[in-house]
Amino acid sequence: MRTLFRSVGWTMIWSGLFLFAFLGYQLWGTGVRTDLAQAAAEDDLADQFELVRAEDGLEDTTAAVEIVLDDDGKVVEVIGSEGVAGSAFDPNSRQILLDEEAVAENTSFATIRFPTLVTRDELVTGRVEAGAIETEGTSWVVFEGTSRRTLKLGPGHMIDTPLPGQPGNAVISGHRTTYSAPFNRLDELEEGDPIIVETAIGTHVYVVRDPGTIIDNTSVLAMDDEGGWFAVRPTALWVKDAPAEGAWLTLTTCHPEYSARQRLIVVAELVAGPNHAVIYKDVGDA
Amino acid sequence: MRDLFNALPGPPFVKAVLAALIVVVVLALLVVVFEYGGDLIDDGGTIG
Repeated sequence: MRTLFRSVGWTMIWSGLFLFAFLGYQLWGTGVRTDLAQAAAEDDLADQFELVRAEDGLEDTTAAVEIVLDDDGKVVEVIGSEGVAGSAFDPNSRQILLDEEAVAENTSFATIRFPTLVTRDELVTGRVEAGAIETEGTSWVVFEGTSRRTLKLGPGHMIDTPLPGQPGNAVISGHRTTYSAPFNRLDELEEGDPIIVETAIGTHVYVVRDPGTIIDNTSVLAMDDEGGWFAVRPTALWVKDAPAEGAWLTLTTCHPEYSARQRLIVVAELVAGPNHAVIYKDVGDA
Repeated sequence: MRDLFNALPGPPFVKAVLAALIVVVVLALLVVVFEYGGDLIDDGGTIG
């Protein structure tokens, strides 16, 4: 009997240690790898942007973009983001400058920032240079692809969707609780909040739209009262397709937190950027 | 630990080899569980 108690005791001690180690690794350990990858990718991306701009004869207009934010951090106006030199819309391929095939899987090609995910009280409002908006801890390098391996590096762009800043719906996925949890606070985004994506061709400013006004699908499991997000099953492929016209950004992550049972989706529309005028003129002409 | 080692069959050399094998298998299992077990709480949030 004594041996039995001792065995049970040791089993419980080892099980507890295993559980602590497992949770510690998942919640913090996995983030070490992601943080290292993000730091390395930031340097690579700066060089890559310069290279693409040099090849396509583009000017670096990032610093020239200013965003006017109201006291709640909502976008009022974006100034100086239109008309990048060399911008050309190809109506046949529906691609502008950045070609999907030109971005290799697992490579970094953009950054994504969520200004309003800093404490809203600390958010600089008024007319602010896009690059200077306080985004500490909310800026991420985006990689091409959404494989397990890629998503360990940071948010990943779904390969069969348009790139950010292009016509159509660009889908970016990210972890919510592990691997530095880049999309942990996606549920705090509200209608009107800005999402800033930088690519080699410039600064693309998206604004979160109320899914209740643009999504009409019976498979939606839950919808945010603030108009920021909705939840679906992980197999809801229709999320990639909607909406049809204009340029959109769809962000996906796990839901609820600490579960992969559902997906939390945030949908945002392009309101300014080097391709905005040409994309929305095209939509208007169609 | 010593009791477990002594419980393994064979002469000391065989016991040592078996013990090493067991350690390798347990470590491999831990790696698999740590790597893929996290998918239960967060699999990256992709669609499809």
